[in-house]
Amino acid sequence: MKSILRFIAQVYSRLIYLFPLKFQAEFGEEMQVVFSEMVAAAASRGNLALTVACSRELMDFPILLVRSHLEEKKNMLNLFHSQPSRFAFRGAVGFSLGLACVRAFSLFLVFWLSTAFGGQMGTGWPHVLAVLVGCGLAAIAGGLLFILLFSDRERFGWYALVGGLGWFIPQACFYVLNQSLFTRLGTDQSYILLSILPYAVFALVGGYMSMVLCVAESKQRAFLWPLIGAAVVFPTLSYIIPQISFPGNYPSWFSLFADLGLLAVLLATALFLAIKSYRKGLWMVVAGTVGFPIIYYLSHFVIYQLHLDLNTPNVLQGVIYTGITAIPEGIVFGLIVGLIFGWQRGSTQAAV
Amino acid sequence: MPSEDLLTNLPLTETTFFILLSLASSQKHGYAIAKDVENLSDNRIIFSTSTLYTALKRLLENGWIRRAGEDPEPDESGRPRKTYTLTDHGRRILEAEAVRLESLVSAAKLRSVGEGA
Repeated sequence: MKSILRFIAQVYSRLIYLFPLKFQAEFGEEMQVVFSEMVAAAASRGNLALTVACSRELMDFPILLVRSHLEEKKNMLNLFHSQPSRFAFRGAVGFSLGLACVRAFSLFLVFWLSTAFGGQMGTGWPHVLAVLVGCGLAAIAGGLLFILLFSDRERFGWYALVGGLGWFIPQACFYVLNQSLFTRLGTDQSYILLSILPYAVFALVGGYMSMVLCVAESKQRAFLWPLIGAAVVFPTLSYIIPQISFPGNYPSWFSLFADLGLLAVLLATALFLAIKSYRKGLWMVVAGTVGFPIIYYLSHFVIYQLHLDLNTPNVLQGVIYTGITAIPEGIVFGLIVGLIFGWQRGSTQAAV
Repeated sequence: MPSEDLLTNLPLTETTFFILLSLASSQKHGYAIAKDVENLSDNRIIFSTSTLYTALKRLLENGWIRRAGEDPEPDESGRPRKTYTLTDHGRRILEAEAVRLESLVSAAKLRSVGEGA
């Protein structure tokens, strides 16, 4: 462990050279001492604490680096001093890197597990199971992202659990519903739904990410059980409902409304939990639900303008491109979420 | 009542307030400030090293804190640790912010008492 700490301290001492010369001369040595003490203290609490401490440092570093260089030129950026802006920039850096990794990781797992379960992506329950396992593993990464961005030292587990569930529920429902709808290919309802789903999933992800922020900040463990229940019930319903509401068995409008009803219930659940857990939960979820699909399509509009070929036949290239395309989306989403969160947390603390 | 000059600096950011508060009781070195702020803020403010030192730089430039010398206890590697302390101006700013926060809380309590009656 000592050699790892020494290595980290050495890397940090090199990074300090990036600061302006005057700043380095004044604080460089002190910063190295304090950083070494901080990482040693974090390491004594375990590997996760060490990872979080280093990641926090890594996320704050580029922002403060830019700020200190600009201040050297001109003492103008008071904007960077406020808590909301610090959270916003931390959110932008964290979400862009995090979303890129999590999404690429998630796609890779789904491909890999589906192949392991029997060839190409299909429609049977093994494929659905593969999707669920993939989403579950990606949710762990999502939970870690939540710790890095928002948690304090006392509640790593709480943020990881809530963040992971918030990541899992909409993603799992989307993939499972998508798989289940393949059994109905050829019916009008499936075409309508399959064209709605890509929009719906981003609304759901935005809504659920906003909701879990509300639940996480409320620190009320009573909300954990509804979240766990939703993580079990909703993916199950996402598989069952398209199967039992097959247009051959019921009027076609019933099939369509049954599936759309499921999406509505998913969103309503997020809204309910957010309102109950946080005083501005309603606006958080509305902003996430409306904002995230807009952000997604705006960021991808830029990608399309750059004429990047996203339909690559190679799985690895597809995974890499998925990661790259998540970066602009993560920057904008992180900026907005961080700004709202920092402002909200700041005003709460000021009141106290 | 704090002077007009002091009031122009208020309200303080949370980070600034806690650093000044930490130094109000005694002079401290950087790591001690970071740990103390964690405790004072109930673990909600956790500084990265770069955040701490850009904040300290700003406070030094404003003349709210000053270097107080070196800690008699060096760090593990034997390197001396510089300590910081509040200036008189910094202490007046901190007191003015405390008065401001106190008046906010009083107003909030009055209103909640009034509504409860």
